[in-house]
Amino acid sequence: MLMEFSEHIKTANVEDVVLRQPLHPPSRGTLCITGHHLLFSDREDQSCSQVLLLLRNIDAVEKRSGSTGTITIKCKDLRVLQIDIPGMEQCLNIAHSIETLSNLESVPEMYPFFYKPSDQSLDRQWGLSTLEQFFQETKGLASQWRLSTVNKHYSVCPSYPTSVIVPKCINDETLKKVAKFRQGGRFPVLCYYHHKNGMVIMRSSQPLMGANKKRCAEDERLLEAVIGNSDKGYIIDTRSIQQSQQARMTGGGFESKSCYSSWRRLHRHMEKGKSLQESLIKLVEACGDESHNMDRWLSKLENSKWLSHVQTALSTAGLVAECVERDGHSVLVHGSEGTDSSLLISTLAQLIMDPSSRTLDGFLGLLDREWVQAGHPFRKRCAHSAYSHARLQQESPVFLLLLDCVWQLWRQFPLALGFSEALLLKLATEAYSSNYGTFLCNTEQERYALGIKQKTYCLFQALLGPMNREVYINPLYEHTDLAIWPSVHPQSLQLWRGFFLRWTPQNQHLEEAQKEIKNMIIEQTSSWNKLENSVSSQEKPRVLITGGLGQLGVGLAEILRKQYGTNNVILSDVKKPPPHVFRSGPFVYADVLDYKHLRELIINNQITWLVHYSALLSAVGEANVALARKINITGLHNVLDLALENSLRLFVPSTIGAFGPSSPRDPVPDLCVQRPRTIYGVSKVHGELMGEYLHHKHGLDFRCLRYPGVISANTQPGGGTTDYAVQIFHDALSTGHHECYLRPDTRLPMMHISDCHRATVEFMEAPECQLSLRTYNIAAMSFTPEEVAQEIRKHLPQLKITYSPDSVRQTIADSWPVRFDDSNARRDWGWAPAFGLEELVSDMLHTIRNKRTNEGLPINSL
Amino acid sequence: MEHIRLPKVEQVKLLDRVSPRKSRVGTLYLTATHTIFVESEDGQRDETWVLHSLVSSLEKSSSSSSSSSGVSLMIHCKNFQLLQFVIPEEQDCQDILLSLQRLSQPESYEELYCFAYKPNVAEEERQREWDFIDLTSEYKRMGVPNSHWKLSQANQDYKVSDTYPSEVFVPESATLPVIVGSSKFRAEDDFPPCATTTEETTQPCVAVVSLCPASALGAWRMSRFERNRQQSAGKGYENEDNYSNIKFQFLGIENIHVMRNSQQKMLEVCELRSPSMSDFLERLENSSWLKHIKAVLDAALFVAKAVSEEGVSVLVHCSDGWDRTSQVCSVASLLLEPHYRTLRGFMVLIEKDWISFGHKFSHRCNHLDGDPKEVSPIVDQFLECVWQVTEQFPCAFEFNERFLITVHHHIYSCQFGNFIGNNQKEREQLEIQKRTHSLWTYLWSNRADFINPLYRSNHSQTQGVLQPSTAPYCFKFWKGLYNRFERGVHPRQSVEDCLRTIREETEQLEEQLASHKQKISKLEEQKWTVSMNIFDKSPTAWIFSPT
Repeated sequence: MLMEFSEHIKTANVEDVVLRQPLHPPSRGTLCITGHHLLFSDREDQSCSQVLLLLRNIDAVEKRSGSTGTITIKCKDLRVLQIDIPGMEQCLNIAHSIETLSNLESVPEMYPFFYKPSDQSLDRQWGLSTLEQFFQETKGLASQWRLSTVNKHYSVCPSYPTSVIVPKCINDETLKKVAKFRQGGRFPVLCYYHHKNGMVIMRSSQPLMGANKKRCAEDERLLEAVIGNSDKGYIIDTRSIQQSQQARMTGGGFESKSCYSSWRRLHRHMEKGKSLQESLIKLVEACGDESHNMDRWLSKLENSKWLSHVQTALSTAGLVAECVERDGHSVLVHGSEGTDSSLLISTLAQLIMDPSSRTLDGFLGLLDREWVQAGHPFRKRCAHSAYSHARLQQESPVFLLLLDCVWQLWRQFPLALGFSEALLLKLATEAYSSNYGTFLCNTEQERYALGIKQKTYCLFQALLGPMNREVYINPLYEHTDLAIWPSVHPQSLQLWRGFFLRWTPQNQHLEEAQKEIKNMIIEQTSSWNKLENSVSSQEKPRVLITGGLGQLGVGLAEILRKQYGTNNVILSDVKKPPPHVFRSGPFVYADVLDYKHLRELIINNQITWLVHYSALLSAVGEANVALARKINITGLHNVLDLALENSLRLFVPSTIGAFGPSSPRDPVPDLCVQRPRTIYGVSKVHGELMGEYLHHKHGLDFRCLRYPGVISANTQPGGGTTDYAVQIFHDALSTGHHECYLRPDTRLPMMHISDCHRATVEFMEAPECQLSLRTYNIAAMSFTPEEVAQEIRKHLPQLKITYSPDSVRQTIADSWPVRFDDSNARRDWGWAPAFGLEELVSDMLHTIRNKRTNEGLPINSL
Repeated sequence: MEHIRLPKVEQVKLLDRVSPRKSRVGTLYLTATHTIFVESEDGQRDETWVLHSLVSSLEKSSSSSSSSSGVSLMIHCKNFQLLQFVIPEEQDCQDILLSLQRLSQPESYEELYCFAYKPNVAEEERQREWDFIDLTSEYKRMGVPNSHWKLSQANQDYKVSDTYPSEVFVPESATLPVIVGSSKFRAEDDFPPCATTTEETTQPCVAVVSLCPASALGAWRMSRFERNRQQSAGKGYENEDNYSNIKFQFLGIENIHVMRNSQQKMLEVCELRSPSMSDFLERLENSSWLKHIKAVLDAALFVAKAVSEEGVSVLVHCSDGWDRTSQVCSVASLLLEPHYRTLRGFMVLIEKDWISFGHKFSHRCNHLDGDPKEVSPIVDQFLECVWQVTEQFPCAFEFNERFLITVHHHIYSCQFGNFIGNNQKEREQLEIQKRTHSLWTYLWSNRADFINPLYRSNHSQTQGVLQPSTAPYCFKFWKGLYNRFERGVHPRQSVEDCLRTIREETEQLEEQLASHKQKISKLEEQKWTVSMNIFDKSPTAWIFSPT
């Protein structure tokens, strides 16, 4: 923290503070004050909630003393908070700190210079588009207009940006002379070019004709050049005739008919400056009135005149748009300084006429050009808001009035604007206090001098970031090329509740409705996707297999590829595949913990079926619980989310491991108590339940089979409890001796791998209407080590088997069922195994013998 | 037909009030039921139809400043349409005026449009229309009769109260003499029946809510003398000494005359051609209209809270029992019961609290040429209160604004029989159910237009008791109704229509999806039987045998 701040903070922390804020019950906690923030943390419940308030957002602090001190904080976003602080001294200290720190004058000490968002970097473009870009992008402009850099050192007009657009035939020397004839040097510049007819909107400040009716030939020439081939143009003066006449007394004035014969002048009196600020103060006061008296409310509302200002602004903007669009003439807008009402009118007129300014990007670009770069003095105008007790200086809510008018447009044309009310509310807050540097200064020159673009972040860029964009777009937006003519009847204009009554509970119901609208759009999109997927699924499925290098993946891929074509089945894993796998068809790297990458894979490859084999098996899982939890649970959630999002048919294997000692053991039905004692088992039950939940809730096509121990000659066992039943065949053919880690009478359900694959494929292909369950047991046989040894001895009588039970695996095996009841699978989708113990043993011995022969390994007992 | 002095006038101008340049020229026709203006421009021929029963007042002014030739005839309608014709000949205008005056103020019920309205509907079907809303099943839904409330035969053949239906529910302990006695005691023979029940009706405590403002009925602590005087005059409120366990509450809702004048002033605001914002707000305030709306909603909210939070039964009354009582009871029911916020439930609510309990529709809506002092926008206020609540809870109601406006339109149009007459007894005498059509089936068969696309029966806003805020800033001017025909003042694009399309599209997509899935599963079944053969099942097929 800077020294400057700490000297203002006598009490940095207060315990046992009660915070009352709108829409929340009062809460007790700790208050903490830093150089830029007020932080309240509520530690009463486990639900630790925090309120972080930018001190700059505080408009007024009111102290009330009693046995405890109470501070009322009134914010620029119209929120009112109340804080009860136990000690009187602490209370005064806090109030004093807030008062001082919220009114700091020095720009480089303000929070935007300290704010470091993690997701943005400072070397990004600052602002949305420079005037150079605007000039290049506006088609048809270059024939009559040019970009001038006469102001490159801000020497001609301190409040203009370095480049401006002026008539092509007017040179920089002329511009310098014109600037001397306009208040603040704001000579007429182009701000809008109407494609349809080549007409433009110009803006400037008032001409300095003064009491003795001075003229400026260059100024007259410039405006004549704007008219070009057209017969006339309109000057919209935002002052009444009397006001503009009076302005001559202070050196200002207007374009007289005699000197500017091609221009017709129309006066529309627009309130600004102090009286606009007072209007806002009165309106906010009326909204806070608690007398519940209808007459009083209506008369206060009327008395504030705020809605009248809205009406005038919209109707004047409508007039400008009518001149340009309907009448086909160019318009020059100005009042006196040309930094307030002129900008308001030109911005609204553009929104009415120009569809490209109505998108989210277009609107923010317009604000950037017409307000930030055009030199609206944000710092002066937005120093305080409606609650401040400070003496009014140059505050005036012109920008807020603009946002209100845009909101009225949005109400009347709810489909024509590409942004949401939330954006307008955000801007209304940010203009007064912000983490970003966008609204910090009065002019581009000041921004340049303070290094705003190097040292702070840009609000507009942040609002267009991917996360924000979703919040700030209008889901109902439909592009229209037509002008949107607002109605300015009093009946058509409404109080902007979203802003002025933002902190009332009623507003929440309206927000819920907005949410509902968003949901309806999402629902429609998802129906679309489902239909599209359904149509495409009529063709062959596109299958992705995760954990494809485990015991089952390669074999399943082989079968699926035969059926659906090699390229329709993609194997994936985090390991490097052996060459033959790599050659056999598509293989990609995929980590189930990498959601984004997995999503990319699914979308890029138009996957419709996902077989999720990636998991840590029982014995390995017990050895590394943390990893098992990550892969088996987090990984599964990724896969479930993706399957739901993309309407995939998802296969997740469960196994015998999903049962526990309390499950029925002989046989175990599909539905029963499942209390496994291994992390593997727990994660499998979790998977079954999550999948079924998403199926019932959202229609996810989730399919799950509980495999028994799978016996395969081709793949090495991978750390399961039933692996002895594979190892025993290898041992029988090599050493002739198998040391078994289970007791001789440990009976477990087993299945030949080809049955397992066939079950998987048949189950995946079964029509949804045939499935009465989403998780099925499948069974083939059930045997003990002793029984399998006995069967092997029919082929290899010398096989010796010894038993040295391993406590981990034995415990696991003892908790498992001895037999599966798979009658539902048989009934629903016609499951029937092909291999019994006898077929299994002869097939295993045959295959392993061939394999060993091929690899040149000795074979016992031949 | 005998009332039509002039069936047709040509070269009539229909003025557009907002932009006079858009005024149209055409022919004006008078028929037995409608005034029809047909534009005579080539290719245009736009038609404007106005039902005679909707005409509320006519204004002829010879000095029409805007167009030098002709006499202006202004037609104000009960649905707030405002038409201004310019008729070339003074005499023609006079004839039209006199004809319309007579046609829009029929002298007997028989002349009303509902008896002439014969859409192409079979008689059998027409009869069924009247079974669509059935109050017996509504009482069943409410759970009455039960051990505390019983069906009373006291009002059979309207012996006790003309304005009550023949079947009413009263407390179990009330015997026939008590009911008759109670009705004698109350003005106009209304005895207190059961309007809405909740589980709490068993509570011994009852709150009595008087809707009249204290100034009209006397202050709560009115002197005993004054009270006795009122009682002897036959009107008054329950003497607290005689009703134990009862709380009294006065809620000030003004009488029908105040309301009528207030609406008149408010309508003048609507008719201003291009008022400034200040003009508009000032005159809106002076009309006091929103103040009255707030008073009704305040009272309804009070009743709803008493029932739901304090668990007391509530007896609501005003001076006569069919105006303010109906307003407050029905709005309170709507706040209390999600059912009444559905399309069908709302029809039931109107049927129950308004039609069957004797709101004097024909008097209040001026269906016949009658006493102008009996006319009052009581039902308009009810509909507006509902609208104000829907604006606060956009997801809580199954019906939309258009539905409320349509109901309003037909309360006045006399096209359907539902609102004809002043009570059930009159409707029976008029044989409404035998001779006219019912609005409810018409609305139901067009319900696609009336559904609020944001409504979901499981949304949090649809659950339980609604507690709208009655802070003044929550009340808006209802331009949808009062400026219904001024197209210029309404939003140019409708979110609701857009959402309705989206919802329909989503439903279509879902349907397509379902049929597609069906097709696929058929195909898959075929493919499946084929694929079964791809796998080589071992010759020694294993057979499941539990050893």
